[in-house]
Amino acid sequence: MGFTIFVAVLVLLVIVTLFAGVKSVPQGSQWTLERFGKFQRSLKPGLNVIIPYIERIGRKVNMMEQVLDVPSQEVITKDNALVTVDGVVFYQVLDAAKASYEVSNLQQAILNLTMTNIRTVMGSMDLDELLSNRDQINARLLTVVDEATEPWGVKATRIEVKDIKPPADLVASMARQMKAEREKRANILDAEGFRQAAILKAEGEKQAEILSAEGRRQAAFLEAEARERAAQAEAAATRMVSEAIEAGNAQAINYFVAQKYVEALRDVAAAPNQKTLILPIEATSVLGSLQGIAEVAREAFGGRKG
Amino acid sequence: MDWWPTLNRVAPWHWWVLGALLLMLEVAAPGVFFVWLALAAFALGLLVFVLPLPVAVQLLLFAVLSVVAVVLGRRYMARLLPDSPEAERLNQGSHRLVGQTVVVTRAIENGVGRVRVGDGEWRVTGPDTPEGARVLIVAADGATLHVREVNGTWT
Repeated sequence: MGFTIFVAVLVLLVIVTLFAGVKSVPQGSQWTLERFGKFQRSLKPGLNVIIPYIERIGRKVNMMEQVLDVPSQEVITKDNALVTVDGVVFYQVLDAAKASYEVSNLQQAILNLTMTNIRTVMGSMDLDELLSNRDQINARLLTVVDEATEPWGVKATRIEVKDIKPPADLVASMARQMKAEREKRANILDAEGFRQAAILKAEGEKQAEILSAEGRRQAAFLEAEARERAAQAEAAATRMVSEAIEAGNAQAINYFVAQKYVEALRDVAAAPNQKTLILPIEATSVLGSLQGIAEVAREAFGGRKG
Repeated sequence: MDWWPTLNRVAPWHWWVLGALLLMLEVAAPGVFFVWLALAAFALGLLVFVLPLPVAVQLLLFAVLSVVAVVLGRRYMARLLPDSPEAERLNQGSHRLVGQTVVVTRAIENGVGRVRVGDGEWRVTGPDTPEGARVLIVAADGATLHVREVNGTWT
């Protein structure tokens, strides 16, 4: 009976021993092994047998790449703008032992390091730079954090600034500034348009003036020419008349004059406002001109008879 | 009840049932621990089936067989179930970079500098090299790589 109990306890001891000595490490992590509390080695994924009671598992380290959210914090830029910034850090433990024993709280250490460096980097830039040079900020942060975490067996693979939020009133002014810029451009374009239109209009007017002046000049030229021609014709006619008179009788003129005179009288008589009949003062001279006609006739006929 | 195991009589199938229960426990609580006890229980059941032994001896044998199962299991596991080549591709950390040729982004001075690997930079130790030179990664130690000149000798 006693032996049986002893054996039962022994079985129990063996089970506990196996439990302490057989360790299977899952993929993606490494466990540190401590012998009397002193680090010995890292256990790789898979089945590991350790010396029970003497060796025990210290830390279970995640060897996968991890993402750490950097909580948003307020940063003052070089030009004294207060912006709210948050980000992410990607890091991977490459040396389980260093990550376990060189630093006491790895995540907090990386987080604090990143946050202080975000302040440092952003404090040396002004707001416009900050908003337009994110890749540069990321690169600078990564270099610093990577260097600092190297003794802890950690590789910071990337650091990204997620959100840069300037205060609302500043955002409003930025929007206003942009709007003003655009309006300025629009106004300038408007003015340009007006200017060009005015120039074109003036050009058109000038051309019109020139053309009309040219027209007037040509017309004047032509008119003068016409008058010249008329005068020439008149002169020629006069010459012909005087030549005719010279050749014939002075009485011939009388005939013409008398004809005109009578025609004029007829016109006066037939005028539409026929209230008065103007008779020339020298009414008798009409008769005189008739006389002239008679004489002409007589001369002509007489000349033919005689 | 005569089918319960007692301190005076333990049948082979008791061990087999224990083995089955232990295997189920293994599935429920992973950790590759109960499987050894289960193997020992199955083996012991076979042994008891062949030659009946007193209960105390059986228990003693169970303890011994459990340890033997672990030792043998660990020795022959690798031979029976070799790791697939895919298993080696994961979580190699910086060792996966060994053999790559990279460009120095910060001159190696006093044995320490930085190189560009992929889209990131790594701290390296190696012979002093000017910036822009090409170096070969020969070893990895945590987050620090060991490099040598491409056409140089092992350092």
